Amino acid sequence: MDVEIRMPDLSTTGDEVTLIRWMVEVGQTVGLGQPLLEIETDKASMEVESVAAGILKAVFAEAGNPVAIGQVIAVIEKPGDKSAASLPSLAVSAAVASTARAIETPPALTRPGNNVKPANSMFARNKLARESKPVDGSQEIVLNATQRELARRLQESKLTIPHYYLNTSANAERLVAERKAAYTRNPAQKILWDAFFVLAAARALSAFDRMNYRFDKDRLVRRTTEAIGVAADIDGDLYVLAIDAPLAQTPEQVSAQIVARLAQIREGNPAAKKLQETCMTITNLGSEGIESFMAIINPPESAVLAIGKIAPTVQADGDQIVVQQRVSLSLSVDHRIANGKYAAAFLGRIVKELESF
Amino acid sequence: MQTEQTQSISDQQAAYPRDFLLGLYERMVLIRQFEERVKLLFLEGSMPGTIHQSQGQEASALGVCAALNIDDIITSTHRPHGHALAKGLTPEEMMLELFGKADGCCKGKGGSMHMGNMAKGMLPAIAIVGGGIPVAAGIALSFKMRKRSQVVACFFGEGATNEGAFHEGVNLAAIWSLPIVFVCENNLYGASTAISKVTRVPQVSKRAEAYGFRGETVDGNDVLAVYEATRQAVEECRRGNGPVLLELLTYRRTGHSRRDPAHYQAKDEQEYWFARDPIVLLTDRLLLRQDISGADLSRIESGVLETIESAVEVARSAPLPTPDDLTADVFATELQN
Repeated sequence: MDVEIRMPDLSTTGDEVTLIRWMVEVGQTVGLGQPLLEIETDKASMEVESVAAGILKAVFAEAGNPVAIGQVIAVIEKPGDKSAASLPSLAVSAAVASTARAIETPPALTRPGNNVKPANSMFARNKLARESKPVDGSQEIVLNATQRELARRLQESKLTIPHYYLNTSANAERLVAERKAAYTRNPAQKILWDAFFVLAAARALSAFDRMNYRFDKDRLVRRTTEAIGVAADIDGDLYVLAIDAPLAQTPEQVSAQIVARLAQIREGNPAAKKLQETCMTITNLGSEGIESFMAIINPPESAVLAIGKIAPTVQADGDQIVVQQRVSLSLSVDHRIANGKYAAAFLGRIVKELESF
Repeated sequence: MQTEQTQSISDQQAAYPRDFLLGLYERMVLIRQFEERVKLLFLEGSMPGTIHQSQGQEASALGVCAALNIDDIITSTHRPHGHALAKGLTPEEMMLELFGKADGCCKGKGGSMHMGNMAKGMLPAIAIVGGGIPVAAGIALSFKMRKRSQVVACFFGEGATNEGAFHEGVNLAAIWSLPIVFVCENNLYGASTAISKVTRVPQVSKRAEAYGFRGETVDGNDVLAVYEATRQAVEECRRGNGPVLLELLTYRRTGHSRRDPAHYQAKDEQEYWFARDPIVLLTDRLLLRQDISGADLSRIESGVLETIESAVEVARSAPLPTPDDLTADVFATELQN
């Protein structure tokens, strides 16, 4: 007789846990109460005991991946005879310490029993119950864990960080020319605009050290990372891609790193989805035709740089009127970290860097 | 004094009737296997909520309850399964309760943390840490005012001893000489916090002196030591010389809740206590007797497993409460209409 094994409700707040590893290999015998897998919840990592004795026939979850509470993760074949289930003997014998490797997923992912049952965790169910059915019949969208976390962080940012905003614009002629030249050199790789802004910000940060601090209750703490974030909308969800060590890289390399990060998230790589510490974030709505906008700081960063569209603009150049490629830049700053004059000079440095590519 | 008493217990051991000892063994195995079965039911998704389990603390629950009469009352905590089975609740009425079924001991409305049955002398458990202590004082006051000979055994963990409710309840019991045995199951951790980190007097029994009554520390993994200490404490209470504080030193073989892997328990500490498992301790002592064999114990164990399996079967197929049951037992009868 086959027994379906489901992911137990061991998370304290979420409705999914991460599978660290299988402790028994497919084909091996597993005893009742023997550790079958190791998981990581929002609070701790722990071993999960098998609720059936028999042969582990198949597993449907891979190490390193998040698994929804209640999802079928394995099938155990019980021995044929219908003897009453017996519990492990009282002799408190050492648990079988099996160190099996993770097993590849058998081609059974679409079996009907494998559907994720919605809201299986107690907390998720309670939450759904609280939010159930508005009386006026209006529509609603239940947020997933990532979306809820993002909403919480944004609200925390707006409520607790005293933002102020600086607006300016930069001459983008050299940027446009540099990007065109790079394309001519290697048509296979088009540099993302964001790569230039990441680099300009990284260079400015190395000259304006205060912007590398974060606010912590009664002090400012210097970050150890040099990573810069790039905001990305992937299928309607917002992510901050951490771009590591940009200072040492060319625009092509930064661009390639952004592309790689996007791909990792699309593939569902949990490590890539995890929020990493970054100094500041670049957010760009230029491709959507937005001229300028003010962004919300991604805590605990010191600032966020909002980029508008790059477009030919009528500009006074001395006593001449010229048409010039320009881009608007809006910097939102945490006032607890930097005052207006300092941040203005910082933004000026970003402009200078952009104009000298 | 401690050693003298332990010595006298082992002398007495030969005098315990065989059936009494086998009865203790059966109940302890029942508590352990009940908890193990519930753990698996939780892991397979049949049991909602979280669950606080008592594997490793069987001797303290049973040693106390074995020294009580059926009409003596116990109060319990968020970890009540062992207390309930020790006080005589059946695995079936408890399993029904855990499944939220209408025939559960609290009609499916209490669940794990409110296990209880007044007819068997167990107030439905109070999950608030220390919350049962003032209530126990109230029950004992009622016994005293009505001149009953009953006593209250009030279970709590060492974590509760730093709650305000502990001071209030214990002090009232002291000034009125109430018939209460305060039973502190000291398993070293209040959830994940070691007792040594939150108090400078790690020996809980010493606290009794501050209130003017007797306290005693007992090996809580030795069911006979707990039984003897409780018997004496109960006797004192019935004679009007209560209350008494018993500190039972024990250890959880499981996390605080099902979601807690207990990484805070040090490996050598675990090894020390696991080697002193209460069931293993009792087994070793029973097998020293000429009239008890390993086969006797195995037979008891399989009987227990069958009882638990049949309780699970019954509970799975039993009916849930209906919406009509919603307000039953919620309002006083006069208010119900």
